[in-house]
Amino acid sequence: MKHRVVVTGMGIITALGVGKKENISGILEGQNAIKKIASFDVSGYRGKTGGEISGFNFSKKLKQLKPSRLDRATKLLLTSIDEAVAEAGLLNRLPSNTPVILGTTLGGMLSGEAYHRNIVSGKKAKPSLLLDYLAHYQAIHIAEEYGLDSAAFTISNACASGTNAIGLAYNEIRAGNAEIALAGGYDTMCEFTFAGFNSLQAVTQTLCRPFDKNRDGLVLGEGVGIIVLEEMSCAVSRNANIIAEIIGYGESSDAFHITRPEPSGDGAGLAISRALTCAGVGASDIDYINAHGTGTPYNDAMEAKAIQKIFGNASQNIPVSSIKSMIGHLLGGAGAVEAVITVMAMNKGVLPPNINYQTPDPDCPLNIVDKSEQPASIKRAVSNSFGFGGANAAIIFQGAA
Amino acid sequence: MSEEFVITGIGVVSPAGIGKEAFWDSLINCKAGIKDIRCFDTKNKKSRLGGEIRDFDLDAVLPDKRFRRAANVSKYCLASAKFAIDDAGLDSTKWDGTKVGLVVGVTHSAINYSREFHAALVKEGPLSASPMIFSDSVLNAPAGNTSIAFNVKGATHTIVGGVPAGLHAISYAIKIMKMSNLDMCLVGGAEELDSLVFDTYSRFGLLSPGDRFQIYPQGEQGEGMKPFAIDRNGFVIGEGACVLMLEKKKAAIERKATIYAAISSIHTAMSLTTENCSGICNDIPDAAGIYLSTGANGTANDSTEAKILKKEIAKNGKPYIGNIKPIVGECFAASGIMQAASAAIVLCKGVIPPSTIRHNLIPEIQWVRFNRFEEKVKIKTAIVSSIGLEGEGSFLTLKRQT
Repeated sequence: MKHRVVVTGMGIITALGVGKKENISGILEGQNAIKKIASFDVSGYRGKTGGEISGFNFSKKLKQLKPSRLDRATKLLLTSIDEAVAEAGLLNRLPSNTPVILGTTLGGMLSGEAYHRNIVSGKKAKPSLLLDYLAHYQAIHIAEEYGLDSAAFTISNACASGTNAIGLAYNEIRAGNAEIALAGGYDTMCEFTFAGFNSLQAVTQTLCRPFDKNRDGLVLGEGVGIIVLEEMSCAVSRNANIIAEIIGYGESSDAFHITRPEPSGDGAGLAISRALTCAGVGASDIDYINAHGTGTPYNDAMEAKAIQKIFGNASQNIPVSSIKSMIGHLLGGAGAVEAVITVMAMNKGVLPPNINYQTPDPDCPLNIVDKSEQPASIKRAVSNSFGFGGANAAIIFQGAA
Repeated sequence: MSEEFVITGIGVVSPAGIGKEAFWDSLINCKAGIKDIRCFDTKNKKSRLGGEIRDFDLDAVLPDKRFRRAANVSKYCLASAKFAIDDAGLDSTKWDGTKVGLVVGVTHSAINYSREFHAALVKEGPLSASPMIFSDSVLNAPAGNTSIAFNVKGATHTIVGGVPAGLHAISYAIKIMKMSNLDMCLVGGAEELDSLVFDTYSRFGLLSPGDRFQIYPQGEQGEGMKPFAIDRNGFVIGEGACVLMLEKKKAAIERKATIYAAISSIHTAMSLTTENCSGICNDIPDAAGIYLSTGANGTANDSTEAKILKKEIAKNGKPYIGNIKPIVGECFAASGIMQAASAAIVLCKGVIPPSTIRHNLIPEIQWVRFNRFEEKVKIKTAIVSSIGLEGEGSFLTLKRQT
């Protein structure tokens, strides 16, 4: 008998703001948080915009860590984890055997960049910048601060990392290896990745318009999504507020190309079908698909094919949207932030819009949510994530009612 | 875990030999792969030694132009995976890729490429950014490339961690095999030598420092890795990769595969102490039948590892002890998998290489058995331990199957 897994707390930071309230209202209203990048000079790049978090002040009083030694990524994480843990009613009461499972592509790259920039320019570089640089240190620091002595796992499967992390946590609880788990994903805006995605010509010079016929690339963002997962009877017995249930997770890989997705959508489709099988539900039981939808020609065409293959005729009716149009692509944070938004939209009964969508693409014949504030009864929703190197993941949420 | 999953293939690319046979030969003959580093200049640095891989040509192992420009860390991983698949008697062109998984542990991953990409950006500006280098610089490039080369479609994961990342990858591989009902899973660790990494650990005082003007033999005063020694003074950095083929035991028996060992249990903790490791070796009545493949690397945590092993095992007798790090260096994420590989070969062959741990040892480790020469002993159990710089770590128990 597998255990049932529920969500009892969530935290989020994106370019729309810090916390769930600002994010969900911004998303459901269809607010565009994409602006010209301010944290570094973008004059030499093709694309110039991104979803940067502005006005983030780290105010948390730390018990174990020194703020001066922490990367921006860890500060964002600590803030979001506090929000999630508080909602779960576990602030200062998080059991010490709670595993931390995080997904990221960059870790503390901003610190690494600052250090290396000095080295390359022949200046003195502070070694303290390296204390939170490597991508596994953020999870270690989280465990340290919250006094968690169980495992801290860092998964780096490119843009699928956040969903993989929640999927692993789900699986740990389902298999009876943990009662409560902290999972999520994060990444910060840094020039390293910005230059990389620009060099790959994957960044739009106009707008991020997922699934639109005229889409011409992604826009990068930054942020964190955190979920407190809990074994259902454990949550019930302590009268925790159950926000949603996670009912299925699936993953696969393309074995195709280091940056391009496998065009037939078979790999992505396998992840979605595994998630459906795991949940024991059929394609017709899904009421909303939160797409990976990066806005690149390749990804969206591939994802549309995968959705068509798995959902058949229903694919023309199930509402589909990508919130990357509003907050950008958060890489390792994407899957986690999208999971948080999916759950909140489901509970509010409103579909997140896919802004900037104007011209339907015959290669993406999906029911794209092109207007904001559209009410809908969402009982079950799928959130997709696909990444470089051919990593695919899909997770299914069900309303708590 | 009930020994449900077994190791049926081993592939190694190490400073002490390319391929399982060469690696084992170096362990048996205590032939260290530690050298004066050539791939970057160590002039004016406090240390000069490294477990450097030379004369490695991926084309000789895997002639495929798609990977010729991949980073070294990816190349080591690709070659090790090829060796492991061949060793297991499998053919990746014939398998159903959707039933095969891959988990790679990394610490710094393609740091050479990251550094090169960023240096060009800082010095020459945005137009110098190379898409080729960027796409192979990401943390999951070794796993991505390896999944492409060997048609791995079941699941592909990269676990980032410190020294214990290799053992974490094994624990993760077992989880995903169960979750997605995979038939087999390649699990590995990979690491490449890099000047920035070298300088960083040197700045933090973790590298064993040498006297620039006098070359000492290893194991004596001066630069060199001395696990569990009183006068240990840090580690020597290494590079390489190791990949294991994990299979469901039933399937492995059915296809008459050579089974090196079964995975019996893995214990992982954020901060390993004698308290939270209690019971890790409960099912072992006679320590004389145990081989310890330790991960001590000449740093402060060596004594923690020794204390835990002593508390858990010493009551049952004297186990044999091994430590591959004086032979290959500290290869970070690759270390744990190399340790597991050496332990699996010990179990399968019934031969124990001479112990590399001998002189001037801390009292907490003096209770074990140190064999000066290779010994033929049918060992039943091997315990692979690995503790990271922050005290995080894992203990993996392997059991002989033949």
